Amino acid sequence: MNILNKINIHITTYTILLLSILTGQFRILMFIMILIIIHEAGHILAAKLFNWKINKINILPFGGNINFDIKLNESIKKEAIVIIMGPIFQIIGTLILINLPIVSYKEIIEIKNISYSLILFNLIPIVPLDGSKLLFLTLNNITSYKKSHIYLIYISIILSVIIIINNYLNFTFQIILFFLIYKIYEQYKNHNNIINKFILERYLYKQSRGKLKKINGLNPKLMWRNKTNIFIHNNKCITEKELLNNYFKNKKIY
Amino acid sequence: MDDIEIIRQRIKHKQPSYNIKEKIFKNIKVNKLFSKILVSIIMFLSLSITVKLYPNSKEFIYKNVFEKNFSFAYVNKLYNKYFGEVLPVKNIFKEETKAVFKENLVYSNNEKYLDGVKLSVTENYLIPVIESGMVVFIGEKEGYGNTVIIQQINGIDTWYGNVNTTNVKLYEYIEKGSLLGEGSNNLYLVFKKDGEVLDYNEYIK
Repeated sequence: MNILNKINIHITTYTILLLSILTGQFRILMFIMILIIIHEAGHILAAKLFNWKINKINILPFGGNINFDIKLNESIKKEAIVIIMGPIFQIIGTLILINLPIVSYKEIIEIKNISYSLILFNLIPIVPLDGSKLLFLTLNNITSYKKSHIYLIYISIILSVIIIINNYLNFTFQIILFFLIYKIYEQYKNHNNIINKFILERYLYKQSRGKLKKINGLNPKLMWRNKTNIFIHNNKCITEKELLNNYFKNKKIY
Repeated sequence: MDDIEIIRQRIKHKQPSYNIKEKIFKNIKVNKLFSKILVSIIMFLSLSITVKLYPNSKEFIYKNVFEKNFSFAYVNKLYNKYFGEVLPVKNIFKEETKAVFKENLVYSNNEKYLDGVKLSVTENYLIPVIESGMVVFIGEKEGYGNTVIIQQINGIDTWYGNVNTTNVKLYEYIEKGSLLGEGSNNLYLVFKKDGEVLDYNEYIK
Protein backbone atom coordinates (compact mmCIF):
# COMPACT_ATOMS: atom_id res chain seq x y z
CA MET A 1 0.00 0.00 0.00
CA ASN A 2 1.21 3.44 -0.83
CA ILE A 3 0.47 4.74 2.63
CA LEU A 4 3.07 2.50 4.22
CA ASN A 5 5.82 4.20 2.25
CA LYS A 6 4.91 7.49 3.80
CA ILE A 7 5.23 6.42 7.42
CA ASN A 8 8.33 7.65 9.19
CA ILE A 9 9.09 6.65 12.78
CA HIS A 10 11.01 9.42 14.48
CA ILE A 11 14.22 8.66 16.32
CA THR A 12 12.71 9.80 19.63
CA THR A 13 10.03 7.15 19.15
CA TYR A 14 12.67 4.46 18.65
CA THR A 15 14.50 5.63 21.79
CA ILE A 16 11.42 5.49 23.97
CA LEU A 17 10.36 2.21 22.38
CA LEU A 18 13.70 0.68 23.28
CA LEU A 19 13.59 2.01 26.83
CA SER A 20 10.05 0.70 27.31
CA ILE A 21 11.07 -2.76 26.17
CA LEU A 22 14.13 -2.78 28.44
CA THR A 23 11.97 -1.90 31.43
CA GLY A 24 9.33 -4.46 30.53
CA GLN A 25 6.46 -2.06 29.84
CA PHE A 26 5.02 -4.20 27.06
CA ARG A 27 1.39 -3.74 27.94
CA ILE A 28 1.36 0.04 28.15
CA LEU A 29 3.46 0.22 25.00
CA MET A 30 1.01 -1.96 23.10
CA PHE A 31 -1.96 0.18 24.12
CA ILE A 32 -0.12 3.39 23.30
CA MET A 33 0.74 2.13 19.82
CA ILE A 34 -2.83 1.02 19.15
CA LEU A 35 -4.23 4.36 20.28
CA ILE A 36 -1.70 6.35 18.24
CA ILE A 37 -2.62 4.37 15.13
CA ILE A 38 -6.32 5.00 15.74
CA HIS A 39 -5.60 8.71 16.27
CA GLU A 40 -3.68 9.05 13.04
CA ALA A 41 -6.29 7.03 11.18
CA GLY A 42 -8.82 9.67 12.20
CA HIS A 43 -6.72 12.42 10.65
CA ILE A 44 -6.11 10.40 7.48
CA LEU A 45 -9.76 9.49 7.01
CA ALA A 46 -10.91 13.10 7.27
CA ALA A 47 -8.14 14.17 4.90
CA LYS A 48 -9.15 11.55 2.36
CA LEU A 49 -12.71 12.85 2.51
CA PHE A 50 -11.39 16.24 1.40
CA ASN A 51 -9.06 14.64 -1.15
CA TRP A 52 -5.95 15.95 0.53
CA LYS A 53 -2.68 14.37 -0.52
CA ILE A 54 -0.51 12.96 2.25
CA ASN A 55 3.19 13.76 2.09
CA LYS A 56 4.49 12.14 5.24
CA ILE A 57 3.17 10.50 8.38
CA ASN A 58 5.53 11.00 11.33
CA ILE A 59 5.09 8.70 14.31
CA LEU A 60 6.22 10.44 17.49
CA PRO A 61 6.33 8.95 20.99
CA PHE A 62 3.20 10.80 22.10
CA GLY A 63 1.20 10.71 18.89
CA GLY A 64 1.93 11.71 15.36
CA ASN A 65 2.20 14.42 12.82
CA ILE A 66 0.96 14.32 9.26
CA ASN A 67 2.26 16.58 6.50
CA PHE A 68 -0.47 17.24 3.99
CA ASP A 69 0.05 18.71 0.56
CA ILE A 70 -2.22 21.67 1.25
CA LYS A 71 -1.96 25.38 0.74
CA LEU A 72 -1.37 27.75 3.63
CA ASN A 73 -4.62 29.40 2.57
CA GLU A 74 -6.59 26.18 2.98
CA SER A 75 -10.10 26.54 4.39
CA ILE A 76 -9.96 26.94 8.16
CA LYS A 77 -13.07 24.81 8.62
CA LYS A 78 -11.65 21.89 6.63
CA GLU A 79 -8.39 21.94 8.49
CA ALA A 80 -10.21 22.13 11.81
CA ILE A 81 -12.26 19.07 10.94
CA VAL A 82 -9.19 17.06 9.98
CA ILE A 83 -7.42 18.01 13.21
CA ILE A 84 -10.37 17.32 15.50
CA MET A 85 -11.02 13.92 13.92
CA GLY A 86 -7.84 12.59 15.52
CA PRO A 87 -8.98 12.92 19.14
CA ILE A 88 -12.56 12.00 18.22
CA PHE A 89 -11.41 8.76 16.62
CA GLN A 90 -9.22 8.09 19.61
CA ILE A 91 -12.12 8.56 22.03
CA ILE A 92 -14.36 6.28 19.96
CA GLY A 93 -11.55 3.74 19.71
CA THR A 94 -11.01 3.84 23.48
CA LEU A 95 -14.70 3.28 24.16
CA ILE A 96 -14.73 0.31 21.80
CA LEU A 97 -11.54 -1.13 23.31
CA ILE A 98 -12.72 -0.98 26.91
CA ASN A 99 -16.00 -2.64 26.02
CA LEU A 100 -14.37 -5.65 24.35
CA PRO A 101 -15.05 -8.85 26.29
CA ILE A 102 -11.38 -9.87 26.41
CA VAL A 103 -10.32 -6.78 28.35
CA SER A 104 -9.99 -7.15 32.11
CA TYR A 105 -10.97 -4.56 34.70
CA LYS A 106 -7.38 -3.50 35.35
CA GLU A 107 -6.77 -3.16 31.62
CA ILE A 108 -9.83 -0.94 31.24
CA ILE A 109 -8.36 1.48 33.75
CA GLU A 110 -4.97 1.24 32.07
CA ILE A 111 -6.41 2.01 28.62
CA LYS A 112 -8.48 4.89 29.95
CA ASN A 113 -5.48 6.46 31.63
CA ILE A 114 -3.29 6.08 28.56
CA SER A 115 -5.93 7.50 26.23
CA TYR A 116 -6.61 10.40 28.57
CA SER A 117 -2.91 11.25 28.87
CA LEU A 118 -2.35 11.04 25.11
CA ILE A 119 -5.31 13.26 24.23
CA LEU A 120 -4.48 15.73 26.98
CA PHE A 121 -0.89 16.03 25.79
CA ASN A 122 -1.84 16.36 22.13
CA LEU A 123 -4.23 19.19 22.88
CA ILE A 124 -1.56 21.34 24.52
CA PRO A 125 -1.01 24.37 22.26
CA ILE A 126 2.67 23.84 21.59
CA VAL A 127 3.98 23.55 18.05
CA PRO A 128 3.71 20.97 16.41
CA LEU A 129 1.00 19.30 18.51
CA ASP A 130 -2.63 19.10 17.40
CA GLY A 131 -3.61 21.67 20.01
CA SER A 132 -1.25 24.20 18.49
CA LYS A 133 -2.86 23.75 15.08
CA LEU A 134 -6.28 24.39 16.56
CA LEU A 135 -4.91 27.45 18.34
CA PHE A 136 -3.42 28.70 15.07
CA LEU A 137 -6.76 28.32 13.29
CA THR A 138 -8.49 30.21 16.09
CA LEU A 139 -5.91 32.99 15.87
CA ASN A 140 -6.37 33.11 12.10
CA ASN A 141 -9.98 34.03 12.73
CA ILE A 142 -9.15 36.92 15.03
CA THR A 143 -6.00 38.43 13.62
CA SER A 144 -3.78 38.52 10.57
CA TYR A 145 -1.81 35.48 9.44
CA LYS A 146 1.48 37.06 10.38
CA LYS A 147 0.36 38.01 13.88
CA SER A 148 -1.26 34.60 14.38
CA HIS A 149 2.05 32.94 13.65
CA ILE A 150 3.92 35.24 16.03
CA TYR A 151 1.43 34.66 18.86
CA LEU A 152 1.58 30.93 18.18
CA ILE A 153 5.34 30.93 18.69
CA TYR A 154 5.12 33.01 21.86
CA ILE A 155 2.42 30.85 23.41
CA SER A 156 4.33 27.69 22.47
CA ILE A 157 7.46 28.98 24.19
CA ILE A 158 5.63 30.01 27.36
CA LEU A 159 3.80 26.68 27.66
CA SER A 160 6.98 24.72 26.97
CA VAL A 161 8.67 26.52 29.86
CA ILE A 162 5.74 25.69 32.15
CA ILE A 163 5.88 22.03 31.20
CA ILE A 164 9.65 21.89 31.59
CA ILE A 165 9.39 23.33 35.09
CA ASN A 166 6.81 20.70 36.05
CA ASN A 167 8.51 17.68 34.49
CA TYR A 168 12.24 18.28 34.19
CA LEU A 169 13.10 15.21 36.23
CA ASN A 170 11.58 12.79 33.74
CA PHE A 171 13.90 11.69 30.95
CA THR A 172 11.09 10.96 28.51
CA PHE A 173 9.70 14.44 29.00
CA GLN A 174 13.16 15.87 28.46
CA ILE A 175 13.42 14.10 25.12
CA ILE A 176 9.96 15.19 24.03
CA LEU A 177 10.48 18.80 25.12
CA PHE A 178 13.82 18.93 23.37
CA PHE A 179 12.02 17.88 20.21
CA LEU A 180 9.22 20.43 20.73
CA ILE A 181 11.67 23.26 21.33
CA TYR A 182 13.49 22.35 18.15
CA LYS A 183 10.21 22.50 16.23
CA ILE A 184 9.37 25.89 17.77
CA TYR A 185 12.79 27.14 16.71
CA GLU A 186 12.10 25.91 13.17
CA GLN A 187 8.89 27.93 13.06
CA TYR A 188 10.71 30.97 14.40
CA LYS A 189 13.43 30.73 11.82
CA ASN A 190 10.99 30.18 8.97
CA HIS A 191 8.59 32.93 9.96
CA ASN A 192 9.41 35.29 7.10
CA ASN A 193 9.48 32.48 4.55
CA ILE A 194 6.07 31.29 5.69
CA ILE A 195 4.55 34.76 5.46
CA ASN A 196 6.02 35.27 2.01
CA LYS A 197 4.66 31.92 0.90
CA PHE A 198 1.26 32.91 2.24
CA ILE A 199 1.28 36.13 0.20
CA LEU A 200 2.59 34.41 -2.93
CA GLU A 201 -0.14 31.80 -2.77
CA ARG A 202 -2.77 34.49 -2.60
CA TYR A 203 -1.25 36.02 -5.72
CA LEU A 204 -0.89 32.80 -7.70
CA TYR A 205 -4.05 30.94 -6.77
CA LYS A 206 -7.63 32.11 -6.79
CA GLN A 207 -8.93 32.63 -3.31
CA SER A 208 -12.48 31.74 -2.41
CA ARG A 209 -14.52 34.67 -1.21
CA GLY A 210 -14.66 35.22 2.49
CA LYS A 211 -15.92 37.93 4.78
CA LEU A 212 -14.64 41.40 4.13
CA LYS A 213 -11.59 42.60 6.04
CA LYS A 214 -10.44 46.19 5.86
CA ILE A 215 -6.75 46.85 6.29
CA ASN A 216 -5.28 50.31 6.89
CA GLY A 217 -2.23 50.87 4.78
CA LEU A 218 -0.75 48.95 1.89
CA ASN A 219 1.24 46.20 3.59
CA PRO A 220 0.32 42.78 2.15
CA LYS A 221 1.77 41.13 5.23
CA LEU A 222 -1.27 42.26 7.19
CA MET A 223 -3.64 40.03 5.23
CA TRP A 224 -6.03 37.66 6.90
CA ARG A 225 -6.53 34.04 5.94
CA ASN A 226 -9.87 33.02 4.45
CA LYS A 227 -11.00 36.65 4.19
CA THR A 228 -11.43 39.06 1.32
CA ASN A 229 -8.81 41.69 2.12
CA ILE A 230 -9.38 45.33 1.13
CA PHE A 231 -6.62 47.87 1.63
CA ILE A 232 -7.48 51.47 2.48
CA HIS A 233 -4.97 54.19 1.74
CA ASN A 234 -5.56 57.92 1.40
CA ASN A 235 -9.32 57.31 1.41
CA LYS A 236 -8.97 54.95 -1.55
CA CYS A 237 -9.92 51.26 -1.52
CA ILE A 238 -7.49 48.92 -3.24
CA THR A 239 -8.38 45.29 -3.80
CA GLU A 240 -5.99 42.56 -2.80
CA LYS A 241 -5.58 41.51 -6.43
CA GLU A 242 -4.51 44.97 -7.48
CA LEU A 243 -2.14 45.34 -4.56
CA LEU A 244 -0.50 41.98 -5.16
CA ASN A 245 -0.15 42.73 -8.85
CA ASN A 246 1.71 45.89 -7.94
CA TYR A 247 3.72 44.03 -5.33
CA PHE A 248 4.90 41.22 -7.58
CA LYS A 249 4.69 42.43 -11.17
CA ASN A 250 5.56 46.03 -10.77
CA LYS A 251 7.81 45.43 -7.77
CA LYS A 252 6.18 48.18 -5.78
CA ILE A 253 7.30 47.66 -2.20
CA TYR A 254 5.24 49.25 0.57
CA MET B 1 16.29 8.08 -6.02
CA ASP B 2 14.66 7.48 -9.37
CA ASP B 3 17.71 6.17 -11.14
CA ILE B 4 18.20 3.47 -8.53
CA GLU B 5 14.70 2.22 -9.25
CA ILE B 6 15.47 2.10 -12.95
CA ILE B 7 18.65 0.18 -12.24
CA ARG B 8 16.75 -2.28 -10.06
CA GLN B 9 14.22 -2.84 -12.81
CA ARG B 10 17.00 -3.54 -15.28
CA ILE B 11 18.60 -6.06 -12.95
CA LYS B 12 15.25 -7.67 -12.37
CA HIS B 13 14.61 -8.06 -16.04
CA LYS B 14 18.23 -9.06 -16.71
CA GLN B 15 18.86 -6.34 -19.17
CA PRO B 16 22.44 -5.46 -20.07
CA SER B 17 24.07 -2.75 -17.98
CA TYR B 18 24.34 0.46 -19.86
CA ASN B 19 26.74 2.42 -17.78
CA ILE B 20 29.45 2.05 -15.17
CA LYS B 21 27.14 3.07 -12.32
CA GLU B 22 24.88 0.15 -13.12
CA LYS B 23 27.73 -2.30 -13.42
CA ILE B 24 29.08 -1.31 -10.02
CA PHE B 25 25.65 -1.50 -8.45
CA LYS B 26 25.09 -4.95 -9.90
CA ASN B 27 28.42 -6.15 -8.53
CA ILE B 28 27.69 -4.71 -5.11
CA LYS B 29 24.40 -6.59 -5.00
CA VAL B 30 26.08 -9.91 -5.72
CA ASN B 31 28.86 -9.19 -3.27
CA LYS B 32 26.39 -8.41 -0.49
CA LEU B 33 24.74 -11.80 -0.70
CA PHE B 34 28.09 -13.59 -0.96
CA SER B 35 29.51 -11.81 2.06
CA LYS B 36 26.37 -12.57 4.09
CA ILE B 37 26.73 -16.28 3.29
CA LEU B 38 30.42 -16.14 4.14
CA VAL B 39 29.81 -14.47 7.51
CA SER B 40 27.13 -17.03 8.40
CA ILE B 41 29.51 -19.90 7.62
CA ILE B 42 32.29 -18.30 9.66
CA MET B 43 30.01 -17.79 12.66
CA PHE B 44 28.76 -21.36 12.51
CA LEU B 45 32.23 -22.88 12.18
CA SER B 46 33.78 -20.75 14.92
CA LEU B 47 30.97 -21.67 17.32
CA SER B 48 31.32 -25.39 16.51
CA ILE B 49 35.10 -25.30 16.96
CA THR B 50 34.82 -23.44 20.28
CA VAL B 51 32.32 -25.92 21.68
CA LYS B 52 34.43 -28.87 20.52
CA LEU B 53 37.66 -27.54 22.04
CA TYR B 54 36.20 -26.20 25.28
CA PRO B 55 33.30 -28.41 26.46
CA ASN B 56 32.60 -26.02 29.37
CA SER B 57 31.58 -23.31 26.96
CA LYS B 58 28.49 -25.29 25.99
CA GLU B 59 27.20 -25.13 29.57
CA PHE B 60 28.15 -21.49 29.79
CA ILE B 61 26.19 -20.65 26.66
CA TYR B 62 23.19 -22.72 27.73
CA LYS B 63 23.09 -21.06 31.13
CA ASN B 64 23.44 -17.50 29.86
CA VAL B 65 21.24 -17.78 26.82
CA PHE B 66 18.50 -20.15 27.94
CA GLU B 67 18.26 -19.89 31.69
CA LYS B 68 19.39 -16.48 32.82
CA ASN B 69 16.63 -13.96 33.00
CA PHE B 70 16.75 -10.37 31.94
CA SER B 71 15.41 -8.75 35.02
CA PHE B 72 12.81 -6.33 33.65
CA ALA B 73 11.45 -5.60 37.08
CA TYR B 74 14.87 -4.67 38.45
CA VAL B 75 15.82 -2.55 35.44
CA ASN B 76 12.48 -0.77 35.66
CA LYS B 77 12.99 0.02 39.33
CA LEU B 78 16.51 1.31 38.67
CA TYR B 79 15.43 3.38 35.71
CA ASN B 80 12.53 4.94 37.60
CA LYS B 81 14.87 5.95 40.40
CA TYR B 82 17.12 8.07 38.16
CA PHE B 83 15.10 8.96 35.11
CA GLY B 84 11.45 8.80 36.11
CA GLU B 85 8.81 6.73 34.34
CA VAL B 86 9.60 5.71 30.78
CA LEU B 87 5.98 6.14 29.73
CA PRO B 88 4.66 8.89 31.99
CA VAL B 89 0.95 8.15 31.97
CA LYS B 90 -1.23 10.20 34.28
CA ASN B 91 -3.26 7.91 36.53
CA ILE B 92 -6.55 9.80 36.59
CA PHE B 93 -8.69 6.68 36.79
CA LYS B 94 -7.81 4.63 39.82
CA GLU B 95 -8.56 1.04 40.58
CA GLU B 96 -11.26 1.09 43.21
CA THR B 97 -10.54 -2.32 44.65
CA LYS B 98 -6.84 -1.64 45.17
CA ALA B 99 -6.94 -0.80 48.85
CA VAL B 100 -9.10 -3.76 49.81
CA PHE B 101 -6.67 -6.69 49.46
CA LYS B 102 -3.31 -6.37 51.15
CA GLU B 103 -2.26 -9.57 52.84
CA ASN B 104 0.67 -11.70 53.84
CA LEU B 105 1.09 -15.44 53.30
CA VAL B 106 -0.87 -17.53 55.77
CA TYR B 107 -0.33 -21.28 55.89
CA SER B 108 -0.67 -24.09 58.38
CA ASN B 109 2.01 -26.54 57.33
CA ASN B 110 5.00 -26.65 55.03
CA GLU B 111 7.02 -29.50 53.58
CA LYS B 112 9.61 -29.83 50.86
CA TYR B 113 8.25 -30.52 47.40
CA LEU B 114 10.41 -30.97 44.30
CA ASP B 115 12.48 -27.78 43.94
CA GLY B 116 10.52 -25.80 46.49
CA VAL B 117 7.97 -26.06 49.24
CA LYS B 118 4.37 -27.20 49.53
CA LEU B 119 2.26 -25.03 51.81
CA SER B 120 -1.00 -26.23 53.31
CA VAL B 121 -3.56 -23.51 52.93
CA THR B 122 -7.30 -23.18 53.36
CA GLU B 123 -9.84 -24.12 50.74
CA ASN B 124 -10.41 -21.17 48.35
CA TYR B 125 -7.30 -19.45 49.60
CA LEU B 126 -6.68 -15.94 48.21
CA ILE B 127 -2.99 -15.94 47.32
CA PRO B 128 -1.13 -12.70 48.05
CA VAL B 129 1.91 -11.58 46.10
CA ILE B 130 5.05 -11.97 48.21
CA GLU B 131 7.11 -9.21 46.56
CA SER B 132 6.43 -6.67 43.82
CA GLY B 133 7.44 -7.72 40.36
CA MET B 134 6.46 -8.59 36.84
CA VAL B 135 4.46 -11.64 35.75
CA VAL B 136 6.56 -13.55 33.24
CA PHE B 137 4.74 -16.85 32.92
CA ILE B 138 1.23 -18.21 33.36
CA GLY B 139 0.64 -21.83 32.45
CA GLU B 140 1.26 -25.47 33.26
CA LYS B 141 4.53 -26.57 34.78
CA GLU B 142 5.26 -30.27 35.28
CA GLY B 143 4.66 -31.24 38.88
CA TYR B 144 3.28 -27.87 39.91
CA GLY B 145 0.02 -27.62 38.00
CA ASN B 146 -1.15 -24.22 36.89
CA THR B 147 1.80 -21.94 37.68
CA VAL B 148 2.41 -18.22 37.80
CA ILE B 149 6.05 -17.08 37.71
CA ILE B 150 6.84 -13.60 39.01
CA GLN B 151 10.14 -11.88 38.34
CA GLN B 152 10.58 -9.84 41.49
CA ILE B 153 12.34 -6.52 41.84
CA ASN B 154 14.97 -8.13 44.09
CA GLY B 155 16.08 -10.37 41.21
CA ILE B 156 14.42 -13.54 42.50
CA ASP B 157 11.94 -15.49 40.40
CA THR B 158 9.05 -16.89 42.42
CA TRP B 159 6.92 -19.75 41.15
CA TYR B 160 3.39 -20.04 42.55
CA GLY B 161 2.08 -23.53 41.74
CA ASN B 162 -1.38 -25.07 41.87
CA VAL B 163 -3.17 -21.79 41.29
CA ASN B 164 -6.78 -22.19 40.23
CA THR B 165 -7.77 -18.79 38.93
CA THR B 166 -5.41 -15.90 38.30
CA ASN B 167 -6.13 -12.25 38.84
CA VAL B 168 -3.08 -11.12 36.88
CA LYS B 169 -2.12 -10.89 33.22
CA LEU B 170 1.15 -11.64 31.50
CA TYR B 171 3.84 -8.92 31.73
CA GLU B 172 1.78 -7.03 34.28
CA TYR B 173 3.45 -5.27 37.20
CA ILE B 174 1.92 -6.21 40.53
CA GLU B 175 2.55 -4.72 43.93
CA LYS B 176 3.58 -6.60 47.04
CA GLY B 177 0.58 -7.90 48.95
CA SER B 178 -1.93 -7.62 46.12
CA LEU B 179 -4.08 -10.50 44.93
CA LEU B 180 -2.42 -13.08 42.70
CA GLY B 181 -5.27 -15.55 42.41
CA GLU B 182 -7.14 -18.33 44.13
CA GLY B 183 -5.71 -21.61 45.28
CA SER B 184 -6.94 -24.47 47.42
CA ASN B 185 -5.42 -26.85 49.97
CA ASN B 186 -1.90 -26.95 48.53
CA LEU B 187 0.21 -24.06 47.30
CA TYR B 188 3.61 -24.77 45.76
CA LEU B 189 6.36 -22.17 45.95
CA VAL B 190 9.76 -22.28 44.26
CA PHE B 191 12.39 -19.57 44.57
CA LYS B 192 15.03 -19.24 41.88
CA LYS B 193 17.69 -16.75 40.99
CA ASP B 194 19.39 -16.87 37.56
CA GLY B 195 18.20 -20.42 37.13
CA GLU B 196 19.60 -21.58 40.52
CA VAL B 197 17.15 -22.92 43.08
CA LEU B 198 17.26 -21.10 46.41
CA ASP B 199 16.45 -22.38 49.87
CA TYR B 200 12.80 -21.69 50.45
CA ASN B 201 13.01 -21.29 54.20
CA GLU B 202 14.26 -17.73 53.99
CA TYR B 203 11.44 -16.53 51.82
CA ILE B 204 8.29 -17.95 53.32
CA LYS B 205 8.40 -16.15 56.67
